[in-house]
Amino acid sequence: MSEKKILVVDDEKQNLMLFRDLFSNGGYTVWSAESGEEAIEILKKENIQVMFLDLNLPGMSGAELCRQIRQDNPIACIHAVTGYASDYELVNCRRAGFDDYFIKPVGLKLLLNAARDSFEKLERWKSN
Amino acid sequence: MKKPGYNELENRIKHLEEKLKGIELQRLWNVYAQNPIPTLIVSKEGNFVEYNDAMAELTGYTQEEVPDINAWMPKIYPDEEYRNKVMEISRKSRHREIKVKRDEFIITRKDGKKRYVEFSVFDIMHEGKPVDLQVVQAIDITERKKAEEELRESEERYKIILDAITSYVYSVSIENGKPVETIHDIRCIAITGYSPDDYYNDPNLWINIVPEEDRDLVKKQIDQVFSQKETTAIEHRIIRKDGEVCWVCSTLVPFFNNEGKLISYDGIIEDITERKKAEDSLKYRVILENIVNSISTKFINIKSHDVDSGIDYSLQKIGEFAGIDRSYVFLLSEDETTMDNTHEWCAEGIEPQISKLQGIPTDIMPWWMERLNRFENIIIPRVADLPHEASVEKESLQAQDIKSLVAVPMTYGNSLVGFLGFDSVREEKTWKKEDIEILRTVGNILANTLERKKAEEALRESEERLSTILNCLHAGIVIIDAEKHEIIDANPIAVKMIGTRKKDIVGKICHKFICPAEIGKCPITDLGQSMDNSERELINSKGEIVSILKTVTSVMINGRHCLVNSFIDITERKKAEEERLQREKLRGVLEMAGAASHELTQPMQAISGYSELLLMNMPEDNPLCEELTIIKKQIERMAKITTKLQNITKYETKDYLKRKIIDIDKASSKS
Repeated sequence: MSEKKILVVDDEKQNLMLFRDLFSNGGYTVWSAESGEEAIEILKKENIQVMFLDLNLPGMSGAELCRQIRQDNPIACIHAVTGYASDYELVNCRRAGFDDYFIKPVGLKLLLNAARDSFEKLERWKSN
Repeated sequence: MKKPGYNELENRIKHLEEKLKGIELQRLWNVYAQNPIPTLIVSKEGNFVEYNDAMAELTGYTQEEVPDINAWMPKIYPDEEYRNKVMEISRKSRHREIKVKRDEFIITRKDGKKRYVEFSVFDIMHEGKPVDLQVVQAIDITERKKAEEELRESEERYKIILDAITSYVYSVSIENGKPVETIHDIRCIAITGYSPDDYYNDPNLWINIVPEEDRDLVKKQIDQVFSQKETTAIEHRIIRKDGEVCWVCSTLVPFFNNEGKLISYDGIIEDITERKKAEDSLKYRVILENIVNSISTKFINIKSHDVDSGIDYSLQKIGEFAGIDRSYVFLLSEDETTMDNTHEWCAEGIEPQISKLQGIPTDIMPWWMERLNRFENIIIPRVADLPHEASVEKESLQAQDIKSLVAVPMTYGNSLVGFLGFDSVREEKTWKKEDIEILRTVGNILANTLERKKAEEALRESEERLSTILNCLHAGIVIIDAEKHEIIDANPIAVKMIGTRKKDIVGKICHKFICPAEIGKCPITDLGQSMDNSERELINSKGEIVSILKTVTSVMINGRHCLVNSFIDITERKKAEEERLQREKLRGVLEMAGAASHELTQPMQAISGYSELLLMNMPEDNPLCEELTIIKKQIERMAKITTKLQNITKYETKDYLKRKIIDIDKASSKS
């Protein structure tokens, strides 16, 4: 696999920049969006399998975005990143189709590990 | 007495001869003129043709003084009314309208003395036909009349005496211990109707007139005389000759000779029928009055539910005593348009009428109701004799086979509530006036009792309604005497809230018992506060304070100033309110914490992220590494705080600079 693409969605520009910098430094091709609608536009053009979505988005929520993505792409590894966590949200996240769940402020190493693990998972599934 | 003159007589004879055509008047008159019987001849016109000496002697008037009827009448009949009567008879007789043969009159003589005279009248006949002349003869019957009068008077006196005799005596002669002769005194007729001869002729008459059931008593009394015991007077009945039953008192008086041997005894028989009747009547009255007294006593303290049976009892008592067939009560409806037979007693074998006599319109018996409305008694000794205007009543009573009836009004205050009636079906019955008055008293006792029952039932109904309301209310009700502050009543909810038995509450003073106020500081009566749905406190039997919402109303109950306390327990409500408040605060905290943590996590992410990026790209010996690590650690600490904030589930506070702040550790479920 030549190019490892990651989609990051967050309405907080500073955080979006941080995640872009982090994953770029990690050797990934980063697509970023500030809203769910923007993210869907990107996904129409690009085949991206690893995603980090902020749950609290203006307009379409992160969970709703995840549900829509899952309809066309059941394989993708989609991660939730949220500033506000509760047990209730965790359950909702799983129901919406998220694979994993991070609470802000999240350690960058954790995110890099998650990205790496996701790509490894995708590789494994492909070879089967 | 002057005789008529010859010429005059001659003329008259001529006149008569002419008129009578050949009657030998002179011959006729010669007979009458010498007749010792007072005689006159009167013409149709009333002239006295002849008038003899005897007549002049009888009346004291000569023919000159009384030449005709018109002169005669006023003299011998001075009383105008009597005279007119006699003149009418005389006129009719002379005109042959009536035939007078013999009649008695009282005449007044010239000397003013009255004489009874019997006048006989004959027509003078000629050739078998009457002429217009009548011979009138008078007989002085004064002496006979006097004798008759005396006889009548004597008979009357005798009758009066007989009637007045109430006792007679008989004497029995004894020889060798056996009665040999009995002589009854004449007065026995008055009492027994039998004469002394009757007794003499029938030696057993004296005992035969005694009714069989009394004979032993009579014989025993005579035995006492013969056994020389002291005798006592006895009272027994006899049957008079006319069949009437009389009561007599018999007293025996024995006579002894010198040797102490019974030689005779006298019996004194006294008629005591009147006394017996009076006694019976008195006895009857006393018993009736006793019955009324017992009824009246029975009703004084009668319980409302016993009234009906009490009335039935009264009807039976009076009915049985008076020997009537049916006694009953009718009550009028409130608007007096109908009446119902509410109670009835019937003698054995008498058909009850009660079921047929319901809802009877009062206007169909106007005669009856008119009397009752005037509070008059209705006394009908014979239903058959009811007047025409009572024909409806008559028909109705006869349909019930009633022969006699008495109905007395039952009044209460100034109004008619109904009537009490007594029917005789089997025979006619006459009530005494005073007995009817007693029945009236009974009627009024019953009316009073029934009205009292009605009032009591209305009161009970109203009390029951009130009590039901009080018992059903979900609020506690305590009624307190406003002056004594004594608890008068408490409903079940109040009793439950106070937590003890009702009897331990009623009678207690409310201060410091159920109300925290001190004596003399009653918020209502002493401090003049009004209490309407105010939050107050109730002290229960355990001394615990119960939060209540209380309303106090000041009312008059049976003339007593009372305070009606109504309250509801608001402990649960207060608790719920508290919880709601906590929940609301918690929600505020949660919203605040959510907002704060969400807003904070974004910059924290940037700070921690960039610090980490810097550290990633920095050699470990760089002195900035340590400071960057401090920044990162502090962000991590902040992250822990925001996590706690996000997990707050309870409202918990802690003191902070004299204020309360949320105790995040305690409030968070992830502390």
